[in-house]
Amino acid sequence: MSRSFDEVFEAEFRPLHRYLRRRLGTEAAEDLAAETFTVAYRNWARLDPARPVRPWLYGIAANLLRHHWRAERRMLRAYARTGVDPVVEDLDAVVIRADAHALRRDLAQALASLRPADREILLLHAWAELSDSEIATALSLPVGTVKSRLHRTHERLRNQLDPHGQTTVKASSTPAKEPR
Amino acid sequence: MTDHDLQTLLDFRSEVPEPDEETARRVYSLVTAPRVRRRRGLRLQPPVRSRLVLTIAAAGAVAVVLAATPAWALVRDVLPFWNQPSAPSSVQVQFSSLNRGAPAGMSPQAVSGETRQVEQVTFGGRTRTLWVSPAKNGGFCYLWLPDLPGGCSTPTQHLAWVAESVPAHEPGQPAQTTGIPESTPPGHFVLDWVAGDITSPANDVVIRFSDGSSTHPQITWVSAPISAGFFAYAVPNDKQSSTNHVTAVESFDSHGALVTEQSFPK
Repeated sequence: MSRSFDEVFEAEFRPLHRYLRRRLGTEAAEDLAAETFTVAYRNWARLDPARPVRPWLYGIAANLLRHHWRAERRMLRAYARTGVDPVVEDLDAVVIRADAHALRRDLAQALASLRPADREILLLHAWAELSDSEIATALSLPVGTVKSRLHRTHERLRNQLDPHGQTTVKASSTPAKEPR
Repeated sequence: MTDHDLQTLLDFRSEVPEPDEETARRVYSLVTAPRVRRRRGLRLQPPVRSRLVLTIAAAGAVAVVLAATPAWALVRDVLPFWNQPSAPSSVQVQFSSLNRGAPAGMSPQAVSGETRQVEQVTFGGRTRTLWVSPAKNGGFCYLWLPDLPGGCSTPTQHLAWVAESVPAHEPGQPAQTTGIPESTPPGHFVLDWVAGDITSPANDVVIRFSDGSSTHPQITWVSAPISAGFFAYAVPNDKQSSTNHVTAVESFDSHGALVTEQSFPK
């Protein structure tokens, strides 16, 4: 049964906003979330009730995000370089352990080095929690392409974050200590 | 990618919270705001008999409107905002920068992605395009591109304008067209163009000159969610002299009552 726009907004606005905020920070997230739902609202009558709404919404957001790929890469690089994440710096008292902080900076560098289209697929998978088939619908790609790109991106990240498998060994041999 | 790497990715920025209720409500209002839509190219012709009835009814309605409506409303042509051409990303970026440059808590919250082209005017030999975007605070922002400034207004501001000043020239002399000489003393500047916006109840703009004359710049009205009129006026050379120049910009309501008066120098 198809849902009304209000029901979809109620269910999807907050997670979509948070996803966009993780990508680009507060200000851009609000603009992009508003733009995404504006596009959805205008095209609501044309939406096929049989189609799932969530991939459609994230597909609209992904199209809008394209204009911000360079800004996203710039912010990731800035974090990797300075240790200050522009996306979360306005949050109150975020405490991150030192070892996790170093890992995050490495990850930011690795994410920045990905091809934007691959980063899109990876983050739709990891942060928006879309399935492979939902990502395929959102980005108008064959499911096989999504799977292979996701696999390739995972490999690439693993090589960058952990070129000699050290993290895995370290993680298994010396579990992280809880802060006292 | 190891499980550890994947966990790092899942944790990355996981402290970012979902937006609060107020943000959700504000965006919902913005998204679902009523829009003016103009049908283009499609005309549905009713059957002849009902067309006759409609014609009579329409004539009656027009007569009632003519009797009840002030003259200003009949000549007002309102541009439907959502039907105007969308701005390219290069323009949207400039509207985004209006938000980023604002002090904390004072961002105009321009919705850059909804920027529309409203009009083009040529003065001083150059064509400028007026771009307007709605703002989440209920107001709007506008820029005259490529080279003139703009601003942001709220519905409670009934007149806002920007202008550029140049050194006054002596009567009968050509206007200063190159850089401002360092020797120009403060207070010897005059305006060479004025651009701005008005919102209800302001309905008309008058620009006054020191010789007692005045002019009404043409106003372009834009529909909701902007609901404002925009004007741009290039001051003629003979009104940029030390003895005759712009002294005030005023707005009036539909009954001719003064709404706002701003003199120059401000």
